[in-house]
Amino acid sequence: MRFIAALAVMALYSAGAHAIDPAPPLADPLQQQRYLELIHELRCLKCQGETVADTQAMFAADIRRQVREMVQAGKSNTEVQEYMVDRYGEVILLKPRWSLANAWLWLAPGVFLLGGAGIAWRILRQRRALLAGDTSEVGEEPGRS
Amino acid sequence: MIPEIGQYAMILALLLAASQAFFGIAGPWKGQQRWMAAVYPAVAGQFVLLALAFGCLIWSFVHNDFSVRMVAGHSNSALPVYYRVAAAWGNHEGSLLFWVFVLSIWTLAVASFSNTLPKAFVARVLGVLGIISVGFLLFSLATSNPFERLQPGLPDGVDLNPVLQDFGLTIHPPMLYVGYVGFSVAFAFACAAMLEGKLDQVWARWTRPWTTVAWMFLTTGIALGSWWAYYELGWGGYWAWDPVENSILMPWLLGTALIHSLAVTDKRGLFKSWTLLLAIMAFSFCLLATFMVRSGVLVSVHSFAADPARGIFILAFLVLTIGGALTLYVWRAPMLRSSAGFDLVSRESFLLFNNILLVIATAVVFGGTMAPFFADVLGLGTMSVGAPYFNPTFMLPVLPLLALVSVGTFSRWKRGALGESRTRILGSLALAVVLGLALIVGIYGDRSLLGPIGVVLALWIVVTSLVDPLDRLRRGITIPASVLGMTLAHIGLGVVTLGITTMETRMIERDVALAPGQQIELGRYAFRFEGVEDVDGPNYAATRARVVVTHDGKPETVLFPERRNYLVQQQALAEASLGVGWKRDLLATLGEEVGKGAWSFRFQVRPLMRYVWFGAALMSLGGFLATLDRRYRRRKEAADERAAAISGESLQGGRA
Amino acid sequence: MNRFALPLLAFALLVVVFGVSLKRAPEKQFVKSALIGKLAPEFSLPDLLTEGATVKSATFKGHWYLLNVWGTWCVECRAEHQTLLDIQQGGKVAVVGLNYKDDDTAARQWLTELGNPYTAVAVDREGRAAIDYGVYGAPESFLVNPQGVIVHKVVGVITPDSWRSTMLPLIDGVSK
Repeated sequence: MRFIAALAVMALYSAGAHAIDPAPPLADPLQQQRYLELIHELRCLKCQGETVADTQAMFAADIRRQVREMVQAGKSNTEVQEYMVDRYGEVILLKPRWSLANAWLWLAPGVFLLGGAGIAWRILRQRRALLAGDTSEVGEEPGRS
Repeated sequence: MIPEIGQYAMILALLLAASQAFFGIAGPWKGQQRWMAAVYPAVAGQFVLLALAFGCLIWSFVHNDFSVRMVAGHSNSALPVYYRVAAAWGNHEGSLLFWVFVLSIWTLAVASFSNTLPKAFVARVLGVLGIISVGFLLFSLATSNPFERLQPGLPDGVDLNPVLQDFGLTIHPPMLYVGYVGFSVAFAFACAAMLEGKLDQVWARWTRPWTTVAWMFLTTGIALGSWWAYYELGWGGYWAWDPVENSILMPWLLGTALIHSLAVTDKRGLFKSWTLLLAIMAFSFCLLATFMVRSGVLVSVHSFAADPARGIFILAFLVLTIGGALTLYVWRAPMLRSSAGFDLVSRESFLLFNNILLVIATAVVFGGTMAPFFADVLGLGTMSVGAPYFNPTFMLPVLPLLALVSVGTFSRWKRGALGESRTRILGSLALAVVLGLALIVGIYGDRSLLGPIGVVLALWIVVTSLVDPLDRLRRGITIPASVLGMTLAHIGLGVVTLGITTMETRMIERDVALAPGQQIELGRYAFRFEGVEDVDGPNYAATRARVVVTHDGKPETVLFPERRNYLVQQQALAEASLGVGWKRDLLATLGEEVGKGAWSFRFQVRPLMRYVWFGAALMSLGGFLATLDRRYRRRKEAADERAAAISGESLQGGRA
Repeated sequence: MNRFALPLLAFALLVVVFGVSLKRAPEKQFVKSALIGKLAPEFSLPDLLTEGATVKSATFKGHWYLLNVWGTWCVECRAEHQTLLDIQQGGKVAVVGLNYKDDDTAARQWLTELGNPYTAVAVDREGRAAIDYGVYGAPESFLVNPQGVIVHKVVGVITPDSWRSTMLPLIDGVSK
């Protein structure tokens, strides 16, 4: 029981030493930019719902070093991500990759929006058609059909 | 002894809740006046008993009764009294008791302020609230008893998690809970209407203030939580799209939609079944949030299954309440047809867009939050969904929503093209663009795309929100509280948008190791590290760094980030130091010693950060003002109706 | 069908999913290893026990072995130690240690005090080999077959029970 409460607390307030990556920035600003982007999209598996950029956990520090070295060695973002997924699985990516299993997740927002537009259109047409027969004042209950 | 009194009080409260549920539902059904009357003493008694029970729990914490499992597990004699009190609700069991206690307060309020409403309707509302209370009390007593004793007791407790030892955190969960529980009132009103089979505009008018108050608490709770995460967790994050945060955001989005659809039902008798559904869904998500956060199901499927008894109970309770309400809905909703019409460009259609977009936003958050859970349950493997997913996808419904707020403000009820308002719309947009450009080019020197869009939309919302109230002022017409509240809440939304957009696009952050005397520049600010000293707190020992900040060479402020070691829990925690201001927040976090007197730091300059909290405060205040509207407090309904339509709020719709 | 029944239907679906999650036996692994069924990554690291020597993963090929990631800073590793000693005693597999981000002297002392279950201990002071193995904490253990393929991974403590019920059958099933 306590364990669950502890988990909940951890989830709510993932504690511990936060932040700070004291390594100097990479010489190439473009590489530094990519490095920051990458570490903000990798999950610290040792922590609860944090990126490796935002925690001092040993695991996060090692991953940051690995990313830094790979970026310096001229590896592309995809190569770095693939390297991580090969070793840790999809769970390390905070941004799910485009795949058959994940496609619904990326398509859903667009589908929702289209569906919403369709529903709105239908309702608007219905209600406009009713306008002619509706003599009620605003603030008054219109006659029920 | 005291914990046992609390325990008995809870058991008696359960009995009263059961009778409240029975008489509340059965009374109107059988037409028994005396049964209906019996509900009131049950409500009052339940409140007294639960206040007693909660008092007993707090007493146990304050008096360090470490034979109580909860106290031993979440408190310590070295903990300041203030945090010992707060520790009472800083755990699963205590927070459940707090939940039902808050429910009893809301129930008491409904019973007290509803004397103008039909007796049978109020009885049903209280009956439904009684059912919810029974569920929570049963759950608490059967699986999560806060008064459980330890045999033998401990000499001292294991202390409260250090991150929870903070002012923001002592008031943030209570606020959220008051909000969550508040939506149970709208839910109960919806269920009562469905049981009765009657839902008219008056119903919407009764429901509106309760919903708005709940929404206000939820808004405040979220803002406090975000503020707390911002300064306490130490890395400057205020919203991480963490499953727990998402579970709180979803009821807020639905609650916001509900407030707007209630307005339509109130004014035009439209969207009735939709309003009902939103009331059910908003509360369902509050329930889900309470249970999911507390059961840990969002962290991992496994912690949910770790205690199947709790899981099965929760599931059964959800099936009974939500499933029951949705079944009623299938039966009753088809009867709620309205013949009212409205034009393509009208207040109704904009509120329709508002609702659809808010529900889509909820669906996006829901999908992303639950995806790892679904993937795991269905055996598709493990995955993570984080900020890089939510940030762009959430924008999809939210950007059009923000854009439509402004145009919608000019629309009129029922019919009418934007024709006569076109100058105002274009004028305000032009003003917002000019202001935005001035801000972006003049001050920020920005070239990104999202920044300008967000800033212009934010300013547009602020400008257009002011048009109607200023217009009324100019013409010497009194502004009803509801219009004032709406204006304030919308301005708050604009201010939050302005704050978040500016901060997200213009923030500077640097992690760096500094030796004493060294400094680092972030834009026009320079942070100079001057050394560390040791300081002692009540239950921790800390190292405190001194960081002097200058702006263009002129002294700006001095920051004292700390690194605390909590003695009982042996936990190290970074306590960030903030230099707050209306233009920007400066933030310093102390990391570890990296050798030769040098320490690692994280420094941040966050422009307009304050505006995020300020905007949220405006939104809450707007909600509060809106509930003060005279329309909600009138005693004689029908007669005054028309008079109000001529003076008060409906001017908005009638304006030509 | 009545469109007002859709919310109920969606809710029912959700309840079923929750129900299934309750039914399913709790999985201990939060991160399912991406490496199961793949060749164990090669490493060549300093030997903890013999100064100047190296431990190579290739050496162990041809036999079953259990690669155990541990460190003296890891509290749970102490709890696991006796089981590892027993496994070594059982002689079914060789136990190979990967000393993860640790201090050499402390690690040697630990083995002198508690006994040495390891055939060899490789020192991974910087945690690079650990990244290759997808390790994110300690203890973690990998069961590798004679072909050099990882057949099982344990995150956390190996208990005598989990050894008997999951790993031994794997070994016996193949070697029979």
